[in-house]
Amino acid sequence: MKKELEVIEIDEKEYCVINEVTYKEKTFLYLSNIQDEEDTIIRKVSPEDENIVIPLQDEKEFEIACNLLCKNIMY
Amino acid sequence: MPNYEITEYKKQLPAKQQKQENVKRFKEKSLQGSSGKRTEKTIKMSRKSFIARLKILFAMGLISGTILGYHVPGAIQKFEDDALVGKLIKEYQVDVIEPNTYRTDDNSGYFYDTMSIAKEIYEAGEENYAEYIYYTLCNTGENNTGIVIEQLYRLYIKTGECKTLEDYYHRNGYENTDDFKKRVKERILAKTESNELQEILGETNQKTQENSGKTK
Repeated sequence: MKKELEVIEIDEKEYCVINEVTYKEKTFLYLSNIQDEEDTIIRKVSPEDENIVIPLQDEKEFEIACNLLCKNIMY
Repeated sequence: MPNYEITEYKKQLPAKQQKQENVKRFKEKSLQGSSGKRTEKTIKMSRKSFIARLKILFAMGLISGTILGYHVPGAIQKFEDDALVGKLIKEYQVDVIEPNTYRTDDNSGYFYDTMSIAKEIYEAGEENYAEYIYYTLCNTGENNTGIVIEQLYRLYIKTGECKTLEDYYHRNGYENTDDFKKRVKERILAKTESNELQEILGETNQKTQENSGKTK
């Protein structure tokens, strides 16, 4: 059985969306490089344009995004 | 003669450093770098590959975050430990419980051949009783495990008497089911770790013997 995943291009590399979590009006995307599974990053949907994904704001937001991911998988 | 134990340990260091590097890069790339545009483009990925990527992200997230007050490295260890013990419980279910599970005559339910399960535990040897009882408890519940224990003592051990699970706990110094499960799980993990260590030592000893054979 195959899973259909959305593809997002960042820095000329193609990433697939492994997980998506929305929390307090912010949507975080957890991405994995299609060519290199060790290359993983987090992006969030831009508040100005929902078709654009942008880097996280600061370390605090990064920590929130990490915790949301784990909570989402574990429970 | 080279010290193969130390060589083996050193081999593991780059992997650990690599992991730390990956986590550092994961954080940097999440905070910096370019924006991207969501498109209609999709890719079809095998479930296996998807799960592998999800696991990597999960591990990165656990190391980088501080989820719900867990000590983060402990949470990873807990996740791995639970997965390992879960696998052993499942193996016991397939090897011991399922062959001794039967449908009732009216086909509406099922029952366990508790005597055969007790025999399996007895044949595993006294040093493995707690571990096998733990797997039985996880697979069949407290009532059935109580019956298994009663038969184990009455038919096989023949000394002393344990009529209930509580008797068994009391005899062996466990407070209750939670205490029993916690302590036996720790023992299983310690034993597994020790076995892995033995395997590594066995392999390195073998290599040492092979190499000393070559030099003769």
